[in-house]
Amino acid sequence: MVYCFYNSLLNHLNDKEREFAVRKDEYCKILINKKIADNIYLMSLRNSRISKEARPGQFVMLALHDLNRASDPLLRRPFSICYAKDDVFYLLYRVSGRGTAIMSTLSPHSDIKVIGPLGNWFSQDISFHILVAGGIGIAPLLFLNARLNKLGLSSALLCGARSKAELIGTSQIKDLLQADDISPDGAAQYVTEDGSKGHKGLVTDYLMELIESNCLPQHPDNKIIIQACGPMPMIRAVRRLLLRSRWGENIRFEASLESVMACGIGLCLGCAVETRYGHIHICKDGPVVNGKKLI
Amino acid sequence: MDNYKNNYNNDKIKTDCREKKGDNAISNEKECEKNNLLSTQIGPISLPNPVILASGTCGYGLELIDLIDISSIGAIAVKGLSLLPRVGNPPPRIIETPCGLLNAIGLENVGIDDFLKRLLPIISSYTSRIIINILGDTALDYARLAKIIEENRDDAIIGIEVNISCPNVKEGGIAFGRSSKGAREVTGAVRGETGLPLIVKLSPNVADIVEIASSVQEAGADAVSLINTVLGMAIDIRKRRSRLSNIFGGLSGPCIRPIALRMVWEVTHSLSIPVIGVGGITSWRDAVEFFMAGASAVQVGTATLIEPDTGIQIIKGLERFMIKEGYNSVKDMKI
Repeated sequence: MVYCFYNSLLNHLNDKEREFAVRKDEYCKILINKKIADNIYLMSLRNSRISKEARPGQFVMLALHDLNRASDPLLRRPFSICYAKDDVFYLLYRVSGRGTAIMSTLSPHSDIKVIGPLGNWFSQDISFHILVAGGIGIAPLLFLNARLNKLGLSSALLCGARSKAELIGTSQIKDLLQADDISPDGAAQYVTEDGSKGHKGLVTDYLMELIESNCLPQHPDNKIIIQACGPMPMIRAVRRLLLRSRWGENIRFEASLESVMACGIGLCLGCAVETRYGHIHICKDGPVVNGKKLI
Repeated sequence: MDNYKNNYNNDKIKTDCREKKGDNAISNEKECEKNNLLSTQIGPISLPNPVILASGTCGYGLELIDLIDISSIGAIAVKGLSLLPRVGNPPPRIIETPCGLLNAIGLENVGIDDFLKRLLPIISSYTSRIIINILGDTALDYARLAKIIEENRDDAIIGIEVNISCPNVKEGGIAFGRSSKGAREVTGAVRGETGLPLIVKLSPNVADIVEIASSVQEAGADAVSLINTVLGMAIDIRKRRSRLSNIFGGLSGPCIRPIALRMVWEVTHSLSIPVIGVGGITSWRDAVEFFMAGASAVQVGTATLIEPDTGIQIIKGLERFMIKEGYNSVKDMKI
């Protein structure tokens, strides 16, 4: 694997798309920043360029230090784009550390510096998509779900969480965002570890049942892809499940990975992850990677 | 996946670059007239302005081309290069600490041959001032790297920066930077192979920085850049283990600035060798502190990761400050 952001970028794009491959650092106005579930917040930001160019799977780097002109918190934070419409894009985030705690206190109308959209994106050209979300990993998959619905491609959305309190319902987001293209609750499958909503157990157990059952389209021309985002143990469980399943070889697997990042733009090489190709960098070779090649 | 491989259309990029070079050449001339005030001399190296992007924080320059105009930066010091490609340390490689960044990347790089053959022609169409940072496991490695660069001399290569201070690899690197003997040995080996301007990047993880700087000066270095990262550590108290796979990492960012400033002062007030100040510079005010301590130029590192245009903002702020305060060159600022 040879390293060069520009190579992988150009390699990934066709001529028409290449003109969009420009990243910018711009101030965006916060429109909404509200709590929607336990520790889960939704933020909307105005920027027509990012909103128009963003594809499901891509992320942005938010500068939290810029607000008080200080060096703390020092680094920007990466967030997947969870939806984009007109000149507004949305981020769904879980408060898990200092950066996100500060972020949750930001008031609407303040301006925040954003670099984006960054990274690659999920495929949207397969006849049947199975989207597997673990916890806050639902963020990029909501965007993907909306785009697939718009394109008229069939998909199944499986959402896993520890309990009902941490579960993010698609209808809730759909209503908040007034997004016609996101599937309603009824079209998604919910799985909670404690059984407080939907099926009880792990989302990957439910995925296995789905794959092994004959519910999936079996026509040879129909191609199936699993697109997952969530904690690393979930991603690995999906990979193992595909390796074991008799259908595994015919099912593609794309995983959106998460990592601590210093820059998000290919400078620091800090977000390396080991794969069967050697090290790749999540910010520029990902965040969407071939899940079957993970270790 | 396809994008892991590297079969992009090289010619297309080169054409784009050539077009871009034309524009830059014109804007460069204007810049030069305007920036006489900012121009600086680091031993044999002349720069239109004293801001260099530090090695390891600007990739190979290409990663920044759509975000900033790298031709307006004094020079870029590319990611440290070794004889053969290196994969670096396993993750996790970075963690944020108060006002600082702790990293253990482990000198991941494409190797000198790939850089010179494939990347340099592209980068040199965006900037004509590239400093090549080199690293090796033995003094012979450094000498061979210098020889390869000498044999592939390009007008855009304005100097070699010898990294004898990376704390994140087991052999080499810091082993040479920790003793005067090692520092002298590597500097001498490189000097013997190249006539290019030679900068040695020093480690702060030593008892006496002046002693090390003095030995590399004697061995033929044209300048020193200091400091590299400070050796540090962070522990995850729930998992009861280091937050970095390498256990230790190099600390950078604003938290190390006072250490860097003190070391620059020590060297500039004891020796005649030109000093490039590095360590936690995030604004033009920080840069001015380093010039007042006697630095001939500064490098911006961690700040570029967070705000890619930091270098450009520093150049602008510095110019305003110098006009307002009546300085004719950055070296006038020394106190």
